[in-house]
Amino acid sequence: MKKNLFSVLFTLLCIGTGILLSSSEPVVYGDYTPVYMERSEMENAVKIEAAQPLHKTGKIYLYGQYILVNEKYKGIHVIDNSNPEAPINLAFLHIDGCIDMAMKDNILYADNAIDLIALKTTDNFASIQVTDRIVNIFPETESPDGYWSPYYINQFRPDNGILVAWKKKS
Amino acid sequence: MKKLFIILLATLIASFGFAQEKETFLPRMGLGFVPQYTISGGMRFDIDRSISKTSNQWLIISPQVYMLSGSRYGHDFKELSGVGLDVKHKIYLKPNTMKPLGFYAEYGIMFQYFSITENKQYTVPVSENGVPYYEVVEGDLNTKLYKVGGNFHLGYQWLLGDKVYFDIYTGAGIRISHNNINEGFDTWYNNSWIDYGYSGTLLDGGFRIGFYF
Repeated sequence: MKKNLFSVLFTLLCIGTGILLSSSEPVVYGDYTPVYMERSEMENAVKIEAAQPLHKTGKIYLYGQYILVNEKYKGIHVIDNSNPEAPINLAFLHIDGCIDMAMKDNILYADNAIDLIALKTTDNFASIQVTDRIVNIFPETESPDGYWSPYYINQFRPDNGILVAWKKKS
Repeated sequence: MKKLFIILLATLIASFGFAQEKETFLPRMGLGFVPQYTISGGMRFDIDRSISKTSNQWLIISPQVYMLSGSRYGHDFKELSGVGLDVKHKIYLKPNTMKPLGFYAEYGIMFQYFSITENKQYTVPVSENGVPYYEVVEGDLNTKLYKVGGNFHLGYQWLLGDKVYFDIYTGAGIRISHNNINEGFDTWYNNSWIDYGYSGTLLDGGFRIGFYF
């Protein structure tokens, strides 16, 4: 009887004290961190602004006398190239999450993070108007160095947050 | 198992019910150490106090202190500090002796408090030219963790001479924990039943060594 009781106690003791469980906790490395926006803010933030200096540029698109230069995740620089000897930085189209664009018949098509938007522009880019928006058509962009999985992106995502940019750690 | 339970219960009742000639044990106090608490970065000392002159019952008061930095249970602590207190009522089941040896049953309550600082990435609202964004930044975050619970143990204690004891125990317990803040943390410190913020039932066990005086 005593022996049996010892066996039971010893077994439970082993179960009770012998196991050190470890589990993975999100540890995110890499040089970039995600930037999020609420959808309503992202949609309202599409606007034309004064010309800005070029920093982290992407795609270049030629439309008539204009050169459109993508500022990664920020928007599009509009450069008047009517005089190639002296191009003029004309305006900046603020479009969060933008990395690509195309233009036809004064309609600029651009990605606004995960949405595709159509912007009607005047001849001289004096004004723009969002004429159409197809929501959630694009996947969210991956981190430039590939460290952030969708799980971790969601881990840090605020309510109604849309990933609009990747910021390099300072 | 049922038979074992009946025997334990009967012995327990007998230890309360019948005052008869018992083997005496002069020391009324004990001081012990529970080594397995060092795994969690803690130290637990047990103060045993005899609380009855007619039956072999003891009060066990177990203060704990915790101090840790580094990895433990899947977390990476910049700093963890804490205190705890267990209070248990221990009843030795061997009849006709006041010596604290042999099989025993004990039950009690526990409380633990931890202050945890981790270097974390977390989301903060920022504004750029009037446009609101959320960015992920890195910094120290602190949370306070409170845990209460109860235990029931069965164990066996050996006596070397009348001074030194070695005690093994196992049993079940319940824990309820609460963090005062979780924003920015990606864990509730509840990864497993040995984790600092565990909530739920658990199998408990360990051993302790000490001496009586």
